[in-house]
Amino acid sequence: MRFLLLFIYCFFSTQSFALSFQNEFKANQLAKVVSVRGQVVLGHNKGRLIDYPKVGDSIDQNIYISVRENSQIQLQIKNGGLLTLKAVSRVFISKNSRLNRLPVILFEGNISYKDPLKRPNLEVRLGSSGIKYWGDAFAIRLRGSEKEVVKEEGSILERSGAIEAVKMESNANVELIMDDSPLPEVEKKQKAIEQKPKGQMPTESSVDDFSDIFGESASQSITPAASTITSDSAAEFEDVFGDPIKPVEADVVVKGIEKPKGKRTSDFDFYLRNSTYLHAPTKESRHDKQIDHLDLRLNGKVKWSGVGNAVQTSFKVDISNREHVYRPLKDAFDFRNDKRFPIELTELYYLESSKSFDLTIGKKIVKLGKGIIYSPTDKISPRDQIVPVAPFTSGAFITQADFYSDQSTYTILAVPYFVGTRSPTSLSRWSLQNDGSDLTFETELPEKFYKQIQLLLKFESTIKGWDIFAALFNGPNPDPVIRKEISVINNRPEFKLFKEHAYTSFFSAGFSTVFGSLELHGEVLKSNTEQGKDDNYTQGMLGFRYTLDESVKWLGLDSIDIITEYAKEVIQQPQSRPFFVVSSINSRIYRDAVMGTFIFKFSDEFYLNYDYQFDYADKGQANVFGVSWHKKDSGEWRLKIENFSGEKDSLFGKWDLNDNLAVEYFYTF
Amino acid sequence: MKSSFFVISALLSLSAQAACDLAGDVIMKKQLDQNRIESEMEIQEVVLLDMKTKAKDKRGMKTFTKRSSNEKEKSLLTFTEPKEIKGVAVLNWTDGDQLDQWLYSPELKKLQRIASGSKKNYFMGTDFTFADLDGEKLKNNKYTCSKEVTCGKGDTCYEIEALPVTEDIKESYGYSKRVLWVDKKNMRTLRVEFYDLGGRKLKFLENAAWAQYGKAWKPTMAVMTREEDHKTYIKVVDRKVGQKIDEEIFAQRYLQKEMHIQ
Repeated sequence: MRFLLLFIYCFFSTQSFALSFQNEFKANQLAKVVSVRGQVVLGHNKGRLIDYPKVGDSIDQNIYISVRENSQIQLQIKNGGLLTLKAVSRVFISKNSRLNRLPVILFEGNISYKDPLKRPNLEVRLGSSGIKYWGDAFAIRLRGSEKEVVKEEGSILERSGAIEAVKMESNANVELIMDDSPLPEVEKKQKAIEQKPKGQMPTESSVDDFSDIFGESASQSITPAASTITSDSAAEFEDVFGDPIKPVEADVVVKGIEKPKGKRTSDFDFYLRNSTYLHAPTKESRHDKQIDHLDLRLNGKVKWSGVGNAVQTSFKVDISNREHVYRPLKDAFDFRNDKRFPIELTELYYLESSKSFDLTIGKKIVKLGKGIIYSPTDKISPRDQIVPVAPFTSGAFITQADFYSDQSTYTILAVPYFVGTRSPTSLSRWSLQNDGSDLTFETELPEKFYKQIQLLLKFESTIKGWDIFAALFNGPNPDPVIRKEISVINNRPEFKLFKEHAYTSFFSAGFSTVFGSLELHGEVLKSNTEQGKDDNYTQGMLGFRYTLDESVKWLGLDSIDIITEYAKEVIQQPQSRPFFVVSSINSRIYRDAVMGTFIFKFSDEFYLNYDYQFDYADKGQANVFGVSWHKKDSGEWRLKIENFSGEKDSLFGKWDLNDNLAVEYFYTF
Repeated sequence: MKSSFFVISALLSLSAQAACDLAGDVIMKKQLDQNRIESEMEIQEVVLLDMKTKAKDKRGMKTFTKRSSNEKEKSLLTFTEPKEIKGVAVLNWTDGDQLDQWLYSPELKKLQRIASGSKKNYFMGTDFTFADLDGEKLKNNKYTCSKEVTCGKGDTCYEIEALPVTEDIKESYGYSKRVLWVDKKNMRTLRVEFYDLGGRKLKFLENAAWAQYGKAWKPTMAVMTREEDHKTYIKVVDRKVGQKIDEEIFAQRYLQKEMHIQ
């Protein structure tokens, strides 16, 4: 008896497995591939997807099937029937809005169908001839330009008798409509042998809310795609399916790198800053004496992406009531001018990209270093620091070639048109001169043309969790030196000052890595200037980033993000060339300094920050306390208190009267 | 006597049918093996719902994933919405326990290596923690199949309890246990309940609208409901599976050259 029970159990278990194969169909599934021989291609006109089917693949959307020579595919439909498509055949299987009807259109070739329970669930329509047949099994061939339908052996069509050759119009097709209801008898047996589990999965559910969230019902909102392989070749698709396919732009085409054709994206943001100074400049000073400064800036970025190439441009429109900041319209194209123009073309470049090589030509922002706050290595793209509290970086005029090998990049970069860093003008509140004297400089580049070109060679790689780079760089130094020329006019000595970007060689290297939750990065830069026109020095920077999260929850904080960098400079040989009176030392502000930021994040919408810079070389410091509030669709507001102090000759000491309360607003649209 | 023996045997057979026919760890391994996909691209819409204020916050994401072995995986996540974070991207290279992770910010125009924070932290304001996104790590859990239950439309599910194998894992993931419901026929994880370190139910995840790719099943809808005050809805708008995704998409240059912004 026990063995009998075991036998019955095993028998039904086996039976259950066999039958479950037929009942694995989903509601929206049309058919399942049960055998494939030779070359068979599935195609879907949306997105021009082409698939090479395998046994077990599911068909759950409108689909073309093309069977090549010496090939065959067999599909099982929901009612258990088997559809066989033989060599050199083309069909289209579509979803039908009518329940349990599966229409199949035969364009050419051989097709056969067989219902396992011999139910007459098949209807065959021969084009517009009005001839219809139905039955439980058939084999049919559609051949030639005259579209002759020929019944083949194996057909059991109940009302038609034998199909003789029937001629149709040349553009007509044969339509097969199958009732693909699941097998009712099978279902009953299946249910009878199913185990009845005790208990139930929890019923509380949020899935039904999907329609409220996404504005459509869950079932409508989802169109599961079958496993597919993309092709961006329309010609191939037409070759396979004969009919021209209407171009439907796929959301994403993945074949190698994404290569959408002729796609354009644009982004704009708006920045406003109002600074209210807490002190007026001294009465003797000739500096800009306004108490409030308003800066408005509109940034735009437009990108056109092609197949393996792109053109990108970005620009800014900058308006302010600050004095001594803007150059006049007549100097609009004098990119080396000490003052900025209200409209700045930040970037405009062309990128040609291939698997192992990129070429970039145009004006582009290039960043080399690993520093987050300070990067001694970033010497290519000119910085506009006329307003040090609202600086920006502009693009350099470059020709850049990148070669890729495994995880390494080799870069050759040339800057044929050099543009230096802009510093605060002498009459600005942010001037580096205490006395407010209106000094004017003439800008000079190295005499020889080839020395006016910046050249860079760089190697970058990722090895065992370390990002490393090394670079060699020759050309005019973005940080200028001051040369004094004395001439005698009417028996009186006259001084003329020149701002010279001396020809300099740099070697730099850097790294970034992670130890647990600590990110560590560093850079070193060795500088040698020809003929002693500037100091020869070595700069180093070491910094880290660390995020406290779990340990600050009790404070009501989401996290505290800490970034700290320490920079140190050693001068090997001071400036020694006669008549060169000031080295680039005033531009090298972090000669022995710690700078960093603490970001106290309460939520995605609200955070506080404290930024600091302690200059131990000149004994000065800057502190910024900020509050930021970001509201969805309403932009971000920031309130800042900026404080500067230090020895009279230190950078921050010179800005002693520039303590201010700033309100910033940032909006992206 | 003889007949009562047979009755008891029959009852034992029946009760055995109600229990799990496979061990929990076997089910989970089978589930992972069956649903493993070598490459995958998804476009997702994510909606965060504050159930108190009914405020909705929408994010758009595009993800690429490529697995070259059980241990090696590369993935790229880029944000397409809202405008403020459009173009922000996270690149991950995983090789066993080694994780290389970079963040690209279009504002800074820099690709920066970042350290992964606590796995307990919620990802970008969603109700998914980094641990939830980490995928199922079999070696970190002890799986026990407690029973088979009815689920979905008359289907049968394994009810599996997942307990962290060490206190460290428990602490770092922030869950004392999880209960998973895996459907017996197709090995799909339909539902997961998460319990906090105090043993209280913290949140639950529902996966729905399943699509089949060969043997693998993938949900196209997911909802995480947390403490009845916040929900995250994920809708997969487009998904391509098993395609050749070029290695260049997972290269740093792809971000540095802003090729992901389209």
